[in-house]
Amino acid sequence: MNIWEYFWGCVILFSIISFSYMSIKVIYKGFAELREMFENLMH
Amino acid sequence: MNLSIWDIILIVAYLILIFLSGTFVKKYIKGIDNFLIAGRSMGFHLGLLSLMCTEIGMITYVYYAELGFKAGFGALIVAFPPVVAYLFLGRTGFIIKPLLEMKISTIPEFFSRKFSKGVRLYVGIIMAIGGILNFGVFPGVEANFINIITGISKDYLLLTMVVMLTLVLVYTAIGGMVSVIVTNYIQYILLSFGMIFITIYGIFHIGWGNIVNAVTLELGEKGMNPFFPSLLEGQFGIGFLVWQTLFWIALLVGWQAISMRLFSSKDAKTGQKIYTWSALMFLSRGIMPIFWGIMAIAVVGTDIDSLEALPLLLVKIVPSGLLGVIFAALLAASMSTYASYLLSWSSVVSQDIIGSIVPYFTKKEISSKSQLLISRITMAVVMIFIIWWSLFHEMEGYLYFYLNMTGMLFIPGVLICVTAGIYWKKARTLGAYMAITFGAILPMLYLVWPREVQDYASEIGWGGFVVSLLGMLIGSVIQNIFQPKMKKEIA
Repeated sequence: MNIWEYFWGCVILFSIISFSYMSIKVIYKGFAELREMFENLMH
Repeated sequence: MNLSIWDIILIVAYLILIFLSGTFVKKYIKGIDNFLIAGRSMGFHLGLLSLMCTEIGMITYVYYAELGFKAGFGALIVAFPPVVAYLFLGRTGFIIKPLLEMKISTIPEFFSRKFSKGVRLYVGIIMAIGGILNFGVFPGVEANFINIITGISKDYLLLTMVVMLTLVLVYTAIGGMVSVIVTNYIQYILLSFGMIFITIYGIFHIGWGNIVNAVTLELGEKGMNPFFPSLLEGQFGIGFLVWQTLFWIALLVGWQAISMRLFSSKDAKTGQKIYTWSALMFLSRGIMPIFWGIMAIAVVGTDIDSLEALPLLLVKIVPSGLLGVIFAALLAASMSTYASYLLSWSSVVSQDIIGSIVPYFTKKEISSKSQLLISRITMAVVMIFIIWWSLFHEMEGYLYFYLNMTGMLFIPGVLICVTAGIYWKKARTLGAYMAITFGAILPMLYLVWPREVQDYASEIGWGGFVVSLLGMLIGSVIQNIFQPKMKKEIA
């Protein structure tokens, strides 16, 4: 085990957590924005 | 055939869903603004989601996995420069805020406002060449990937690619950016699931200790330390990081597929917010696929073609029954990128090249309806070209570097010109021509003689920005001496 192994382990873990969180957020909130976009395009 | 009947049903259902949702938006397309930038009505979350879909394609997975497979954990450093670039532009609004306030739809449009219509045409031509050469390797690389994952015979690969690209072409040509955003939404659900699943399942299936041991055994210390043997001499050392940071800042300003997302956002504040949060998303966009390549070292060994490492890894570790979901996720990533790139590069050809030449001869502007028709025809021509190009082009060195260098044909010039155009009052048209030309010279060397110069990729990379800057300074100084009066100011 060296310092790089810990470092890359933390980076990979952080990227999994942050990507999962952001993906759930953009999918959930993006749906409302999609509807809003169509309303704007109709006018 | 590696796919079960369940996998095939799932993939066909996905394709039908995407096609129907992409084509139903036709009634919303009333003019070129709705077609190209969705009437500037895209919100923050949708913008972020769409940007991620554009910039995550099957090709992204392949080139990042190749880096991880060849360079081990050290290659993970490649994921950091985009983070720095996004945070810098998003937080400060440097360059992007003035561009958003100008309400332009393509970057070359900026050139006609600040410099001249000739510069716009010139940038448009170089941008189209670089962009389409970049796009042109996608079908070949991805066809090989699909061949390994699905087991479809190579004899039918061209047909498979044509069918997939035609589907994308039809819905993109009908609904433009609106279709792209709607299909991006569905594609992102699959794509994000696929990325998270492969990463977590891979770690548990292979074991962290086995992955680290395999890398250490095959690559030694340079497989863990990106700066080995030193910060100056390492493959991913200081020269590489400077180049990549400049490259990504330039890319976020001048890469049509990315800047179109920026210009589609409803206001400058939303655009900046999209860029700030993209930093976090782009970290994962790099880290996860590079890590897949690293995992492949432990699973398939190093005695294979590096571009085949990822598909072989997936076939080996993903359980039957789930392969269809993963393949649909990969297909989603691929199709969303094709749709955006078709729209982006054809908009440069139709708006900035044809749109500059035709009015010059006819002495009148092209109508919105004709622009739509030209954009749709251009998309079909671009699609035919990339299929043809991918059949004949042979890759040398890292795929990642080839893709970077095709972008580098115009990226340094665009960054220098846009920065000078906004912040330097003495920037002139001759400077813009020279910056674009000088910036293209070094990357051209890499594309023509890849074998001879591939060890100097970093130097060519940052060197391109330096010579481009020199071009802007020399050209502007000369024009200011011989033609001292400024003709135009930024609107």
